[in-house]
Amino acid sequence: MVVVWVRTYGALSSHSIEEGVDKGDGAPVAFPRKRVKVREILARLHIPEEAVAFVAINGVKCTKDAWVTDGDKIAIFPLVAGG
Amino acid sequence: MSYRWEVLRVNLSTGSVAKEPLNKSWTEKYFGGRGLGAKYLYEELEGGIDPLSADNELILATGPFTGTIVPCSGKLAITTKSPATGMILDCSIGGCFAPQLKFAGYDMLIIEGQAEKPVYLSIDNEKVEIHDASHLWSKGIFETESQLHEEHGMGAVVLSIGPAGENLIRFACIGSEYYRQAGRGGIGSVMGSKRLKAVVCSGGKDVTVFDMPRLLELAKKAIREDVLTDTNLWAHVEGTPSIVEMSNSSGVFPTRNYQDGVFAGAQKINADSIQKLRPHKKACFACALGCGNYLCVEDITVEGPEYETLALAGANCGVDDLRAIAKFNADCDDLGMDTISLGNVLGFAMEMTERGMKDFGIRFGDVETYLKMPRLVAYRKGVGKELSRGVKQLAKTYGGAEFAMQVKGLELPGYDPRGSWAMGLAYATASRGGCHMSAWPVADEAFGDLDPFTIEGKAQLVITGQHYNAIKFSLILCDFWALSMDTMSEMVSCVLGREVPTANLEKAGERVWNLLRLFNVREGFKVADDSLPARIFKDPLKSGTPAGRVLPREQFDSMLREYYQLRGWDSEGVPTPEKLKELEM
Amino acid sequence: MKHKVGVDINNKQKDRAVAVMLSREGGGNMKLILDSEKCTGCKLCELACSAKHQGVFNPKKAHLKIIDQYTETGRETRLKSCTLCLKCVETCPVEAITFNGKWLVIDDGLCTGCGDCVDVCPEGVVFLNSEGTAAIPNFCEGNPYCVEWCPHEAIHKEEDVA
Repeated sequence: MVVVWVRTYGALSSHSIEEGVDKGDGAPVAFPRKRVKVREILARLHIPEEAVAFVAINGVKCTKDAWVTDGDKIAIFPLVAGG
Repeated sequence: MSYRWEVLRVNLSTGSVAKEPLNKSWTEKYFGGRGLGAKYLYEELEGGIDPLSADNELILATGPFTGTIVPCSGKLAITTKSPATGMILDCSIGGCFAPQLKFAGYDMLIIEGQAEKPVYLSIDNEKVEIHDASHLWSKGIFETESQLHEEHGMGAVVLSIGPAGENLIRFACIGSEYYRQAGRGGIGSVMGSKRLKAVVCSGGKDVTVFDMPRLLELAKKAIREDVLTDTNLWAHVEGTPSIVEMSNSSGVFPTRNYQDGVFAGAQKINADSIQKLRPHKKACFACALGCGNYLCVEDITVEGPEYETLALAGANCGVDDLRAIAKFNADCDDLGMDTISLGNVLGFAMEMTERGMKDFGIRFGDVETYLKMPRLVAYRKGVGKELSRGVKQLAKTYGGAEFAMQVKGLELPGYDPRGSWAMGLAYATASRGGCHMSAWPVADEAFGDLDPFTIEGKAQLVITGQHYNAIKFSLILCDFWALSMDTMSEMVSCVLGREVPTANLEKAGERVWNLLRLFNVREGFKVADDSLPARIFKDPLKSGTPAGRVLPREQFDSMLREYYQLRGWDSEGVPTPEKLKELEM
Repeated sequence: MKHKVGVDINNKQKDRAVAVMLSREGGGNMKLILDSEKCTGCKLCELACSAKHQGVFNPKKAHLKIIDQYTETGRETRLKSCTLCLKCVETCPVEAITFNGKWLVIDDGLCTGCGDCVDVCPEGVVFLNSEGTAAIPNFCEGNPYCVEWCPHEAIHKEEDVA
């Protein structure tokens, strides 16, 4: 079993059915296996991949095929234009 | 249609106020805003003038979308020659000055000459007057606006400078609605050199478009389906502070004078820390997003801080105290100074002090001294006298040029090119110096799927971005609506009543870009100036995804060569006659 | 000598006051409400109003005004719109403006463009249109356009049901 802390930014939390993913440290999300791909987390939260700019694991950018393990903090960032 | 076909020309040396027709054929090639302002400035100035003399002009330009219901169309383009760089400079300011200028009956305001004593300009539809401003001179922007609202009504919109602009500081800005700025390149000092304290504008005339029902239909649909979407809603939900975590997570967050790209204190100055203060969102005129965060941090009230301030005046100075950054921000807004440049200058000063190369009396994280800096710099007092010269000049005098983070005299903003190589090319080739608003390939590299550490396809990426922004900022649309050129084409066609296909807009974007380059070439800028500070080529980043990385010099040179080639410029970076002919220039 | 008590009122004025009173009792006081926390001050509502009713973009020709400004004490965000005070109805010298129980109605044929209604409106949302007759707010006959356009649902209509 893997429990990760997921935090979404921007308007991405509007897709999610999980409570509390859009504030502070985010919310815990559990998976029944030992390892899970980032892609699966997006699918679980109903976040379309096209809406995601990138994902970071424990503060470092990763790809959508990266594996996450128990206790990891996942940040999901929306597309951004300009700044 | 939409255009008023009228330019207001004010000469502060002679006191004359004149109205003249807007050049129609130029609008067909350059539309408005950035492009049209550049065309007028290029034609009216000679090469080599002193930006702080009576010879310089300030051109305030609206575009065909200004004053209409096209969403995110409320910004103003101000074009001039920069006192910081000697290059062409255009800044974009939000709020609602541009729509008021249009409602007053003018597409553009051109300010020439130099007043003998402080003055301000008032525009109330046809009634345009130059007033004595001795009662306003030396006041901060907040008090100036307040006073002018009392004299001209709350409905009037004010652009003004503060003491920094009056004192001709290299990075003084122009402010409006207290917290919005035309920020970079010392634009406020051009106004200060003309002894023009403020411009106040009220308008009550109609703005019409060719096909009103179709525009209303397009705009309504656009707001629902194209503006308020995942791609743009970050601006409404969090505003630019959302970029703090993105930059930090991808290792491009400028930290302690660009010594690193990951800042330990990022969580204390990120979007969450600002959202906790429950900001009241503020929008520019006609904007469906509303990116402004109006909030209180303890005793400080401010609309901000924006990402760039959190980066350059936060992480880059080793400061993670949100209240301190908010106070720094509010003081700069009032004094009228660019937080990007000042934050960058302080980062340099801190590194020089810590290295023992020159004691500027300030170190990374020294909040107490940091908070004194805006006033010291704006008034050229104490160490502020030296710091007000900008990093390029400071390095010339005291050394440290390898880590004076500037290009052509404009201090670099908030993205480290070692973690996003195309961004390095963007900084080196931007029309106004080290700027992130010419193209923003960080979105595709650091914040996207493109490998940031290759040069494959990056020259084209930057070129496409530069053309896109060039036409966008000429029609005038805000950076934060990531619309397609097809959507721009649909809307401009229905506003103007003539077909403007996407291909025309793309060509216009390239034309504007080449015009900006011609201006700079005439001022003597060439390939050697399209470069980056040595730190980017030599000092590896230490943390995060780009740990161990530099942008290797040979790779940069390769990218630049390809860039000139793709652009049809010669090896000196000068547009060729064939290219100019192709663009009908 | 008999003392004069009260104001001298003629029959026409009396009829008018009675008509106003009766129409108020008819019920249905529509009004616009602004959620000042949600309002960003974008003014898309003002543009939508002037576009729909006057065919132009001009905030001074809108039947609502969003005041969103920074003041000494902070930020002020509020709405000025028709409150059905009926001062324009009472003032109109040719009785061109009437209240139908829900909103205001103007008979353009009667309007002389004198501008008295413009001057008397406490909210400043009555103006003369390009034909020189009065433009009167009427909540878009029940479906306010501004409400449709607001991107953040900051403005909505309320109706008192009699």
